[in-house]
Amino acid sequence: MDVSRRQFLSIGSAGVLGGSALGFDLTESVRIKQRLRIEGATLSHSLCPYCAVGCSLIAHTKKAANGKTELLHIEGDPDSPVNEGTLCPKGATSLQLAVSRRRVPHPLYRAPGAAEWKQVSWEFALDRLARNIKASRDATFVAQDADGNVVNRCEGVAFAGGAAFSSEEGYLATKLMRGLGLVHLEQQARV
Amino acid sequence: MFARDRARAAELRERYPHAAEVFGLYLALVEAWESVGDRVPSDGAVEWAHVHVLPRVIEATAAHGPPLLAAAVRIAVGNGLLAPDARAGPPAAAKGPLGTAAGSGGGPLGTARRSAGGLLDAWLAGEELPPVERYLARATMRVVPLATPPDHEAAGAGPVRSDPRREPGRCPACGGAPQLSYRTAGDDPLVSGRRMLHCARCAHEWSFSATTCPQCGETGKRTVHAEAAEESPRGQPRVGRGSAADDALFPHLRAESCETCRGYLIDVDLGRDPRAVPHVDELAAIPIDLHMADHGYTKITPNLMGF
Ligand code: SF4
Repeated sequence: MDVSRRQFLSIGSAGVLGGSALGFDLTESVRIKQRLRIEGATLSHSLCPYCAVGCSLIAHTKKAANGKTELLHIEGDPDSPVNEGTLCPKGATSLQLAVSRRRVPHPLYRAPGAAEWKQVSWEFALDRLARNIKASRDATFVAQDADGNVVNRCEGVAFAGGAAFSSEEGYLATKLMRGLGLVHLEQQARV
Repeated sequence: MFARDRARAAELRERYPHAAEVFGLYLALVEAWESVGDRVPSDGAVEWAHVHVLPRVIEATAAHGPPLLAAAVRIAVGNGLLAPDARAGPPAAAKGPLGTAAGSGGGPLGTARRSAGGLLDAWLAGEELPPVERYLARATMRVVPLATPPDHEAAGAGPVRSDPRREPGRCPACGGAPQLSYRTAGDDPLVSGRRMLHCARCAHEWSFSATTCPQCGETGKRTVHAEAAEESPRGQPRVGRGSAADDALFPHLRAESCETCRGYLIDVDLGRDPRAVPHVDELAAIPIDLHMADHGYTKITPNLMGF
């Protein structure tokens, strides 16, 4: 092959043949590049919300066409001194906390004695919940204990906080339940 | 010593026809490296490599390199610019095609090398070299252990070790830039392997933060670019460590970029392909490299083949 000094220099500095600095034929690579569907995902640090171990996560997200941020994948953070890249099965599936095709999007109600669930409105569900809580509270409310001390407590209802509660949600739930007189409050996040 | 490299390069040459030329040359280089075996002396290794390895690299390149590169190397040899004794300085009139002609003294390529140094010393000193020079130097020095670079320090260029606190992504052994990153494989799919960096200068490997840019130290704004699964219902990229799409061309390769400095590295996931040899597999990622260049990213260090 006859290579002029000019060609030679072009290999040595700027590159030739569509960008290969050493003169490799890129025709096929360019064709593949055009066919490949390469997508970018942003990496962010997060924490598993499920328990007090507090494993570090790396979350992969992407801006969707509608402008919303989509969560694509979650993996353990190998840099974390807490979990060193490991996740328990709960943490490894924490993606489903945000994205799950099996999530039920409407309230469902199964009436006493009924075999089937039926879809109801949020208004119906919230109203029903409030009435049942009030009925249970009223039925089991203790104003004074056996020694006559004023205690004003509800012994017939217990509350279990969700593992994925944020601090604010935990505060709100505690405030509300204490307001109702509940004494049996539990928080799964310290299991 | 290079058995794994050889087997993997041969396998990838079949699997990736777009990179057949690259792996063909790589296999020829492996032959050259193996031919010197473990004869590399502990003292004066750079001088020795210049005399014993560079000619074999030139030979392999002339016979198996892409036509323009092979021709370029043949011209340089014809002009006596790559002769073993040229390290001491070629005739003053000789000006090589692989570099600039400024300065005095000359070197193996008839360029402006310092009289005490040459192509290999320039590369060791971290000088910015044109691609062909860089290729020849890297291919030659592949067999020379550089974790402690005695020749370089003896040459008066000073130590090349970096301070990892100031340059977090630099090789802790020789101060070189990272060539690629890879994720170690684990037996358990619930465990994310550590991120390792592979040095472009001395092939040393070290553990590095999975979410920090090895070039500028940015700890946020990291992006991974991966092949999206065609059949994914939501068109999501398969960027994690779960199983890749069956039809993925590069199931274990992805690019990791920094949005602050716009630098990137190819990342090899051994969790997805435990048989991968990161520095060999990285050579197959040419379409991903082209994609990244299209989107304004620059690889932190071009690989041996200039991509
Ligand atoms: S639930 Fe599992 S992954 Fe989450 S913090 Fe606890 S141990 Fe870690």
